[in-house]
Amino acid sequence: METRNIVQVAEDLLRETEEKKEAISAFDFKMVTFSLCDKDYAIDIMHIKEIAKAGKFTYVPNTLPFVLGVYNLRGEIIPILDLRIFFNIDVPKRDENKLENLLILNIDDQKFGLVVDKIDKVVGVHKNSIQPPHPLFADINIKYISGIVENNNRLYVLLDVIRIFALREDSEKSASKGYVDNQTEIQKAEKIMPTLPKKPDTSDLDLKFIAENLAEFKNFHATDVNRTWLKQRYSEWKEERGDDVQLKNSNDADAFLKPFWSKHNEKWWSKEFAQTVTKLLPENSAKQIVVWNPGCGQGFEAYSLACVLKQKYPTAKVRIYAHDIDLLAVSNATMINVPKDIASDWYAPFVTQKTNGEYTFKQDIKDCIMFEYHDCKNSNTLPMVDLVFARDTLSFLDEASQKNVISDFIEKMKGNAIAIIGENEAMPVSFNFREQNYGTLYAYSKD
Amino acid sequence: MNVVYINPFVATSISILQEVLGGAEVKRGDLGLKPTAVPIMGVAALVGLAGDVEGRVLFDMTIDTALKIASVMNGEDLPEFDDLAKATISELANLITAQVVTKLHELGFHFDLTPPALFVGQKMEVAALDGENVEALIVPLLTEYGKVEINFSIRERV
Amino acid sequence: MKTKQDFPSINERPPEGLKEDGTCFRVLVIDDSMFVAKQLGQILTSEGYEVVATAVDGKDGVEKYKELCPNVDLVTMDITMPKMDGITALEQIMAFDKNAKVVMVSALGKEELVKKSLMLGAKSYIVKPLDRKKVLERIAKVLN
Repeated sequence: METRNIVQVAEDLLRETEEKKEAISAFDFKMVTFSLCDKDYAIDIMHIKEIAKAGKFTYVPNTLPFVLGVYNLRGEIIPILDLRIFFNIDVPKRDENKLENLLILNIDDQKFGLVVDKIDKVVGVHKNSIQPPHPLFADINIKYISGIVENNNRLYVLLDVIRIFALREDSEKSASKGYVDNQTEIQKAEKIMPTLPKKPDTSDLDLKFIAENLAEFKNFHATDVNRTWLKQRYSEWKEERGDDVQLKNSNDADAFLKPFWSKHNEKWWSKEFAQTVTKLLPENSAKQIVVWNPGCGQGFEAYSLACVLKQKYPTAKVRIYAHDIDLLAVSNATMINVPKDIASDWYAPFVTQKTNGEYTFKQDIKDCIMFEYHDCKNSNTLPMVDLVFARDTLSFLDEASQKNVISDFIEKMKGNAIAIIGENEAMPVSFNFREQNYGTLYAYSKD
Repeated sequence: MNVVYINPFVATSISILQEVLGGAEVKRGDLGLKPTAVPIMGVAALVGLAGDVEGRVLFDMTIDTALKIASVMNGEDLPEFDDLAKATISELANLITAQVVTKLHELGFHFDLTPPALFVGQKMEVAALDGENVEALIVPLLTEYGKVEINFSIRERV
Repeated sequence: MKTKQDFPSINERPPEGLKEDGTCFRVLVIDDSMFVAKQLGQILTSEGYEVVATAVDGKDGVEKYKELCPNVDLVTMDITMPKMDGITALEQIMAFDKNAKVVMVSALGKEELVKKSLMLGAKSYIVKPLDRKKVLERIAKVLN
């Protein structure tokens, strides 16, 4: 760390002025000039202890953004502030190894360092040439400006460090309050001075962009069905990612959507989940139980439902219409193999072992399910249904189709039928469904 | 469309078309689903299905493609889309649909087909089953003579 | 339509369509498709058979048979036809002439249809698309 003795500098300057033949009255005010974002500022030299150049500061966690950390100044630990961040002006990307320009201030026996872009020189002026601040001349909060002064064809904004320091103290004591005050002050100033780079509340716009990207990358459409979940997820996401909220690629979108998926989506059901679903189903003495399962994927839901229904309604004939637009998935669903550990769980009574040792569902279970390659947006030929099981399907249709499909649900549901959709999906209020919940599952019935 | 039907439909369409074209290459395009009412490319051969399932199979192609295929099938160059050419395309539709019916019969689905009907015209549209739009499975087949789109629209007798 | 050509044999074979006395076997073709009729006709005439008549549906077929009998040696019968299908027509022809030789030629290959036709009296069953060699073999067998 190199140090320039300020006294030395001041002396040089005095000598210079003395050398001038013109009778110039002695400057009664001296200030150290520096630049922030190519604008000239100055601080009363009385407050400045020294000038330094320093590199790595020790970062202190949980402080305000303009507190860069602390620094060891010849044995004394002093806090370092970045004046640029403090004033909310554009900060050039901090180079870890570059030495920053520091102004070491001493106020009330408290030392602290201020990082600035460039330190210029000591300038002497007449006190009476210092003009009171006009908001237009500065693009930082007027509260911190004690005046404006012109020297050598350059205009300097004289900062009131006492005020800054005082505010900093407050901020440190009650972090958020001070910062908020600071922010609102700056915002007020921003209204007057549009040159200051704005930081408006972009969350609505951000959310809109995220929704668009979700639609593009994952075909997930943000509508009334998932709005509640989406808002909550957005605020979680924002906290996680800070300013970098936008979904730049498919992986980002995947990460965003990860908590959306209902439990046991595309998986075999646990015993508990099967029991929850069983409890959800109404009493039904009909001879035939008809189920509509759009978006069945590889068939885990359909088969699990078949088992649950057979158990709950042992005398009835179960027919499940399982649809998907993924041809490969739904074609393979007819020949699904049950892994050994699943086959010995609650699925046991419904599976049988094939000659090659693998497990598959018994024929009477398979006979219950009609796997169809079908786009639920097109009209269907289903009979009236007792149960609609459409998990995480609606959100992947465009808005108009979502409404059409929900209308189809209503049309095809018998009087005492229920609809179960994704755990993070909800039926829009406009459809007047009655809602009943069991844990994380919601059953919707017609009103 | 019940997934069990799909493979028989697609496999039969490709093999028969290949056979009648004298072993020419037939490539299968991506399968799709459409609501039934579809505009026709110029020539449409329609075969009805009745029984455990009801519906129809539609063979769709341009007049140009139809003429070329008919020529190959007859072993002679047909100058215009006359009765012989029409009969040829109808027969093609019949062959494919009949073998589909046979295959599905072996799988346990019993139904029959009707004699084919041929439509020729520009800007035609074949409308849906009894007013209701029953979804159709689209199987595009690409040959050196052009594209033949086979449109299966069936539903089970509930 | 791909048809397999017989390899020219060193020993010249007499065409199968010719009877020993030199006259041709006479065939009645019953099929609603002009294309099939033409195709069958071509296969048959190339081997010496004579196509005496073509009928476009079952009813027409039965009528023509009744007219032409006994000047018909063989009948080829399609199954899917308007007005009257091939199975019904077969029944009627067999009822009319129990010695009639009928060969089913159809695109449908359903086992039950094959069984039914054979039980009703058909002598053979050929599945379309037509293979020239197979057609000629089967017909020759029936007429032997």
